[in-house]
Amino acid sequence: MDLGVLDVTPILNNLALLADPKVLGLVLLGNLIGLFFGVLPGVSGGQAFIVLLPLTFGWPPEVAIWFLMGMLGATSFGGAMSAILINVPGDTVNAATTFDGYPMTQRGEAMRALGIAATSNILGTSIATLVLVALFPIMRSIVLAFGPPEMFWLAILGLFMIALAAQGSFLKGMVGGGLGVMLSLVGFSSAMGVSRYTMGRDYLWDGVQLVALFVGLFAIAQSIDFCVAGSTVAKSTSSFSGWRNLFIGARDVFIEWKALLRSASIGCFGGMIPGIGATAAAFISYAVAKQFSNKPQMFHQGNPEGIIAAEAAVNAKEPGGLMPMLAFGIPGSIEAALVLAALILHGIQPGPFLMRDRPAVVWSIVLALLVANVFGTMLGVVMSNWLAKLTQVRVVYMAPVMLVLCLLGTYSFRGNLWDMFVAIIAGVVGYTLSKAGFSVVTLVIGFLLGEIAERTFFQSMLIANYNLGVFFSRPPVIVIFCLLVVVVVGAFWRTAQLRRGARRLAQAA
Amino acid sequence: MSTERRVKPWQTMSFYATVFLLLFIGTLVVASFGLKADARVWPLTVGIPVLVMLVILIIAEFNPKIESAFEVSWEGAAVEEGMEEAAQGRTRKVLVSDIPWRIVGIVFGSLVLVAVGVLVLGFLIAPPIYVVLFLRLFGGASWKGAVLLALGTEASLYALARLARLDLYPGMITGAPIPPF
Repeated sequence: MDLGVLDVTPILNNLALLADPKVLGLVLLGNLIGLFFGVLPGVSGGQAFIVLLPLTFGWPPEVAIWFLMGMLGATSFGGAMSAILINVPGDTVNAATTFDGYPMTQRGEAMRALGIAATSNILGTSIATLVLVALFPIMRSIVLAFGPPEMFWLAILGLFMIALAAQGSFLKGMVGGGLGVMLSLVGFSSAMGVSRYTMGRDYLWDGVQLVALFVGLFAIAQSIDFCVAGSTVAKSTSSFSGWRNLFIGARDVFIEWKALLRSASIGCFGGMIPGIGATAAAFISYAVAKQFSNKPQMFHQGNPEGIIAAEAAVNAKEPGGLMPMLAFGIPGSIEAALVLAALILHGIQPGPFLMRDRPAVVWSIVLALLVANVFGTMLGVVMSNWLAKLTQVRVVYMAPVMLVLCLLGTYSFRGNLWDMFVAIIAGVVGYTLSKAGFSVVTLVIGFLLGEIAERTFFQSMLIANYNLGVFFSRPPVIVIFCLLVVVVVGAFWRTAQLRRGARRLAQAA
Repeated sequence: MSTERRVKPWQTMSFYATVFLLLFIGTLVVASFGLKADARVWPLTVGIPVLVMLVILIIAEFNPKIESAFEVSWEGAAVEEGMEEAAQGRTRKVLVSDIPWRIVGIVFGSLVLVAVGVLVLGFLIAPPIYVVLFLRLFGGASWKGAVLLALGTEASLYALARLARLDLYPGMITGAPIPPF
């Protein structure tokens, strides 16, 4: 059936697949596995995807895609659940969710926070999926507009925005980011052809592992905090349980619809640009939400806008990340790379002709992402009331279990025992730095963006024959650079205004 | 745990963390001079400004007005508070004495022990022993509760390993080789 420009036959055929109980069961099984992996710190849905991918050999490609997307669709919400309930993000992408999710839990509003995250999840993916479908005809020109110079400035913009959004001193935020960038330089650089800071050790040849760093800085450091605190996570049990609070959270998202649209746009746009990770998109979205908010002072204290900004961006990034993969065969994210691997293994070559030759496969990816996200989030919501009760368990009972699972998660990434020791050291360093007023979030972001920034810097220099003008001459570059200047100057200007106001009040008193 | 009383800079966590970072980043910057030209561009481009910022932070430890000049705040109340503290020379920083070093030491030490335990005894033996001992000695749990939780942890470890097709390290005790470092 052809409705003018859009042939709906492959769409209807894919939806008809869901009527098959076997396919529906596979989607739900994928959701369950994805949720479980998403909740565990250091163990990502991507690992589950890789492990279970071989199981799908011999399946029809569309069925395999529904199952695999079922897994990916649920991991983000799984990670958000642990970020909100115990302040330990299940994956790096959920780190920004802890800023406002966990304070809400401490107030006894865990279900409300989960409702906000679930709704943002679903709506973020839905909005980005609609954008993906609408941009099919022009996606090639959008992706081609961004080259290494643009990517370089986006990475720098991300670093500055995170330092501004993090609590406390901007200088300490920048130092944290700089430390993260320096740590990202450890190991062998394929671009430079040299190894740096390895001290002759084989272990450091591959550099500091992100999973070990992340698990240490967030999960282990949080466990130390738990043991110090000694009581339960939730300090208040008022308005704690019940579906009513879940719906209040959902309503919050519709009230803050501007923040939702803005964050989904940032996530979708960030996903289109290969190399901008979901973590960076979440933090940039959070920083922007804070700047545009009427109540910026409420961020980091349980502001629904904070959770919306983080979760909508993370989930909007997935459809965005599929765009370059479908248009060029170039994945825009790690998850898109996994989908690419799945397609190739099933004998399907992504690229410019995929939409023309195999529209059923394209629509199965798009629909599976959307439907699996909805199913996975709803499954997580069903389990959330039970999971929210974890916040009433004495934390000192959870700590050793969490620590053991953290060590397993770190080890599981590449089966290297020494990663556990790196995670332990990162945990103690992270705890100490956070007590000293340095943001570990900027450290992680610096670590992620440092490699991108260096690589794109040298790529740009090679393209422009070592002419630095390339960083200031292209229109998208100028736009991003101006945005960077506006954001940094604007933040200091606002602070100066607040100081002037405070001085006037003091003099009047 | 913060305080508003007058304290010496060397009594704060911030001071020692800044000194540590200054030494660490300084070492990386100096080490980068041994790299070829292309390879040291980025370490120097990032490392030198970070060192400058760290020097400013060290100076700011002795003069809070300098640090407050670099604070970016979205809250009017925080700006007022920061200005007041800078003017009176007070600090809201965490003091070294505020940190429960005993608990930090117990958690860190026990983690190192369990990691060494995994190296020696393997993933299936060391973690449950760790959970039982931690809960009994630190958590104040009963033997029954501690053992039950340890068994639950062991079951989770095993299930996860099977699901992820992960080969859990069996421990040097079984003759397994130590991974290269």
